[in-house]
Amino acid sequence: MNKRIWDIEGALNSPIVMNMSYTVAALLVIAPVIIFVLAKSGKINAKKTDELYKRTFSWFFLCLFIFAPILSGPAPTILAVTALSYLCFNEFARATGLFREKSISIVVAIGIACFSFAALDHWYNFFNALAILATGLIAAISTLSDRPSGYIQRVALGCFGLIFFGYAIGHLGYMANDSNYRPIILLVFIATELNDIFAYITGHLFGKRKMAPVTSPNKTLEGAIGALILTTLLVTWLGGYVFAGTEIDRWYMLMPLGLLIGSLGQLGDLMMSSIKRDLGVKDIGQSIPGHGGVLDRFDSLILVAPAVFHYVGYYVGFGLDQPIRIISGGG
Amino acid sequence: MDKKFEFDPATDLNLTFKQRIRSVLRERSVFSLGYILVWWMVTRAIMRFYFRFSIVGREHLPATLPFVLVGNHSSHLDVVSLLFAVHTKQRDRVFPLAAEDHFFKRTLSAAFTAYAINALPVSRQGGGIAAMQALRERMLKHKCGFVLFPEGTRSRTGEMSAFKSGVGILVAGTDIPVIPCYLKGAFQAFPASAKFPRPKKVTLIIGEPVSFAHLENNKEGCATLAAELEQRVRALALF
Repeated sequence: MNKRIWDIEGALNSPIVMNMSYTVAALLVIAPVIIFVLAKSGKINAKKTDELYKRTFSWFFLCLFIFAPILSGPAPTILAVTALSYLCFNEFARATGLFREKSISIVVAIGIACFSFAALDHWYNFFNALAILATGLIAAISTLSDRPSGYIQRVALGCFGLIFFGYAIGHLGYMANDSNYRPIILLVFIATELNDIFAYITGHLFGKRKMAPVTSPNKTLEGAIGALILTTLLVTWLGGYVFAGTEIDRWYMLMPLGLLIGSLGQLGDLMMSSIKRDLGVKDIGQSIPGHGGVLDRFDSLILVAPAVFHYVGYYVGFGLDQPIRIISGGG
Repeated sequence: MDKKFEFDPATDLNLTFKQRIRSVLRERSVFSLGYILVWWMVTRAIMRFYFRFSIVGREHLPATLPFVLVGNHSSHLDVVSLLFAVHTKQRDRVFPLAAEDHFFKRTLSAAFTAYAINALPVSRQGGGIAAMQALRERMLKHKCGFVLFPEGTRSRTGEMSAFKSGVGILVAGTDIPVIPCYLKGAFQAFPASAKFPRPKKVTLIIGEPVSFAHLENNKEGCATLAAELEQRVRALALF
């Protein structure tokens, strides 16, 4: 079968990919044990224990939905990222009320589908052109209802949704055009999600000073700094395997990548907290038990994905040895 | 720049799936437009060709929401028939009111009633006054429409029974237009006793809209309103 659609051998033959998968599987098994021990020793109360069990259980399914498409092949990866874009936009639109503006919502939905096509097609120019063309279309189509009241708001919300959930998250899918895409995307996922968990743990252990009390009262400066250090160390170490033999396989090139993921991940988190605060809602959805909505879980990826894409793209490049415009032709 | 945008989040934002399908606050999201389109294409085709469905007096339907459609109830075809008349653009904001004890008990049936019919649950066992008032608030705030059958249950004989006064709580004392409808042939096509619908001709007659701004929203007002509506629906039967 076509290697773009189904290429499980590619995953099985890559030691780094398999090691990452085994490690995450092991973490999922160890986590409930740690929670059990903490609960037994009385370090955390019953309510917190319950919440942590629920979160870990949800993580099991999230990891399945993340790993299965990435290991399967490039096309499943891109389609899974598209699904993520839709879920995030749907939650955003429902939380802001944008979903009642049908024409704008439909333009964004079509825009996300086009980003997905550009990634599947491996057509970088179209991928970038779409960002401004679809933004323009939102502004244009919204004039047709002859309703100037609220125009700025609905166009702004539409553009926000398109750029952050279609274009920014779409970069993750576009990475699948590289022959070495599996370890890179897994690194982004693992580092961003562990970054959140590092912040949660170090914040609980050492947290004293609040970072942004008005936006998100639970975040502490100590948690943020702890996560930044741990994530940078993790990326510098893991990056050595992921980018082995390329131009950025040096500690002084990988450390900035770690700092990028660590800081932008937390800023993405703060961005979503600001949105929720502004809207006056606690969670943006209820689709993942213990976590809130899909957007509550993957908010950190929004700023990280394009930054990593362009950092790695600048020094190494994405899919330079791969054929372009596979579906539309004319490469 | 401290002037804020005004946001109006989905009313059912923080409900889980099981809560959402049974909630009167449910709102359709954009992505349901796709499957709704397919579901209605199939439903319309069945109505047109199997039941030779036709509508008389469609011009009586108001162009803007909110409004309330009221009809006689003799079969499970009734809801689909009345929704058929509603403009496609308005259909995702028009909610039939369905019996909570019958349609919303099991998750599967509740999910179908919620996603395909877009129905909201109402209690038939009294105590529903507060619930009806909540629906009325929602109708005024979000400009949505309701479809309901004030008889409360399907007719077992084909004869219309008396209208219950609950409909009054929704509209008494407001300008919201109520549109009386009479469905002819639905009882012959799919009576409560039948397992499978028969290919009989079904006709929907839509009457002139009427509003009840002059009536008080109390027990007497609601009773008067129900009686007048019943008269208007009965009058359509003579068409």
